[in-house]
Amino acid sequence: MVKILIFAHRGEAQAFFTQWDLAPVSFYFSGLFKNRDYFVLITGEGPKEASEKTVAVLSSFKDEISSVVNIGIAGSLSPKLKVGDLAWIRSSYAQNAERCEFKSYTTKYHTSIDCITAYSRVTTLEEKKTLSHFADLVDRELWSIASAAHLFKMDFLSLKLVSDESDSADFCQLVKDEAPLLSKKLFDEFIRFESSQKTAAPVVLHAPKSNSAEDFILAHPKLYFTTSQTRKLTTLLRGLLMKKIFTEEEIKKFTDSIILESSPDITSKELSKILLNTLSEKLNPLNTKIKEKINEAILPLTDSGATVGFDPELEQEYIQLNYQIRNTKDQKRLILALEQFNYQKIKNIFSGKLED
Amino acid sequence: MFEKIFIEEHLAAHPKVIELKERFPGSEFKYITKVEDVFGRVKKPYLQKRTNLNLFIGEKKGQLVKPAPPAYGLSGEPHYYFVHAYNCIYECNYCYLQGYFQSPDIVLFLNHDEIGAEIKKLADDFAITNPGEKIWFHAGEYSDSLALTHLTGELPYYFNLFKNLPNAYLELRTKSVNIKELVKLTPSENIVVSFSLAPDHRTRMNDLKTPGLKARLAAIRELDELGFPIGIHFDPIIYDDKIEESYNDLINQLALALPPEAIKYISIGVVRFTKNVYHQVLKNYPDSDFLADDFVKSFDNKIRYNKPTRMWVLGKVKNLLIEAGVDAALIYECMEDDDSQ
Repeated sequence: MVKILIFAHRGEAQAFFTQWDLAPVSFYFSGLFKNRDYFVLITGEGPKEASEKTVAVLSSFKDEISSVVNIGIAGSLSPKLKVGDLAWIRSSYAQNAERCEFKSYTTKYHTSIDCITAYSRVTTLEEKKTLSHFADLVDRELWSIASAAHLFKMDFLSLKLVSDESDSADFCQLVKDEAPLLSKKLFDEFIRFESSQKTAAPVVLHAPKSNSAEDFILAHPKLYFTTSQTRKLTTLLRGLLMKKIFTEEEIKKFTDSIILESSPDITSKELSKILLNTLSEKLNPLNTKIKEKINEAILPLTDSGATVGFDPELEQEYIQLNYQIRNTKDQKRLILALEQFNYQKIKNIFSGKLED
Repeated sequence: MFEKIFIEEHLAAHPKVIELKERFPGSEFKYITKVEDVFGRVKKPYLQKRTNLNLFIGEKKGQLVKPAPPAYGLSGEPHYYFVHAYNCIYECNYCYLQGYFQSPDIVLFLNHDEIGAEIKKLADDFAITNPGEKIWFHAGEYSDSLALTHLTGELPYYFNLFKNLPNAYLELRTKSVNIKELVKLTPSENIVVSFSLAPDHRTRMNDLKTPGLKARLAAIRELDELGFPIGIHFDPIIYDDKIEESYNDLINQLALALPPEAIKYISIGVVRFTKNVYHQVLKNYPDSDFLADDFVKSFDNKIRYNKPTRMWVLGKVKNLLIEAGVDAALIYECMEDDDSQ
């Protein structure tokens, strides 16, 4: 899997072409290049071009592309950002005509600088002032690129280089004059970032660690989990660890003890079900107690052969009976069961009275 | 503290704005026509409040005082809330503000005179139609009532207003211990400072960036000794297997700071979320332990524990309070349907 680097203008990408051996990719439009480690896409200026071309490329190469990086110049909207400053963008906003797009996109690596994408070129200081209420930088593509990355569930990053200052009316003049230098600066920062990512310890959130309790349980020869049971197991284990009820090692020991205590004739599926139920009891003992109490209350009905249902979410107070009457004996049995059944017990449970 | 301070243009010469400029020389001051032109116009991620928080100064428009939702205070009395601020400097990981304004930036409204006039009108009308009865006004629905009072400075205005409205009660809801402005004022029987409390481990795990339990209890003790009426909120209660023990400890600690007979009222409520807020919590605080609990869509479409669980929790905490000497009539259940018989 590789990253795709997306630029609006070839000038911004100049140094990348100089430093890397990038070959054109035959596609529906020109501007797509590739080497062993990266795709490079030149979209042209503006949100429409950026959106169309990014979506087209991500759609066609989604199996090869892991994340999206937008690199380019942006105008400063804040006195704190000066020409030549580099910034990894935090949140991406957009303004279309007089209105802001409500949706925003946030990157995982940033320096607390936000960027707003303007649908039309910013040509007056007044426009800059209005946009400065929302972000520190203005560009013409980022929001569209971020939106496309979001559509394909890919991470996105954005590196911007300040081309003009908040009180300057010389929009983009510097870019025209000094494109090679600016591009080199973007290239150097990108390479620095890539090296830092390679040397940093990888951070993988919520993925099962190797030799985790989940791995241990799923690989156990005496257990078998269906897909939905595996999902349930993942949720239960995450809950037990989050609530610090068990450590990974304690879960493994607990699993071993359940297996040891089980009958030798039990099937893998049955054993897995027992384990899931037991872990569920550990995670939420009160829910287990509530269900036990309900089962106890409906015992006269279930003993009579009736099937008794109740709200699985335990929110609505009712019970539902299914009973087949084939003769007067069945009828009498049901009448007797209903006489023995005390609905007040169900009401008490739903009122939180769980003690005997 | 604030990266940018947005001021409605017509308030540029307001003494509060001049004071803010002196207090925050490092902030960038920006002038806008009205708060809504910028605040909430784009979705600003909630956790950006950690790195750069903006402040908006404006005037609240529309209905300034609104009827409070059901089960919002002791029953049998009308309850209203008024809004003079949006958002909070704290970061409670269950907080509904995460999904409410689409921006964590703080908004302060300066038109207290207009808010006060509406409160006065409601209180006066109520006094005519219901002589001798109480009407309640709550501050802190969308913000902490005390946390920024050293900046906002509205407390003397409301104390003065309610001094002249004997049938009206004001509640200032807080998790703050910022009582330095409050203690400058003379306590009034009809102004209740109410503190939200949770067991120590819950305060540390869930009430992020708030003053700790000890500090809150110390503030309660100080205010009680000075004669300020105190209310308590055990809300939201988060279930865990130590709940009875931890609430018993909390009640014992509270009793040392505030004798049970001195509590004006105490609310108890179990954690709940709108669907939107729940998704925000999942996004912002995915490792919060309570997310491992079983939640269901409840009677009002809010996400809560199932009914037996929350009734059990409320029953347990209520019993602990009664056993500790709190008058049962002063305990009310927050935002829970009354179909519990």
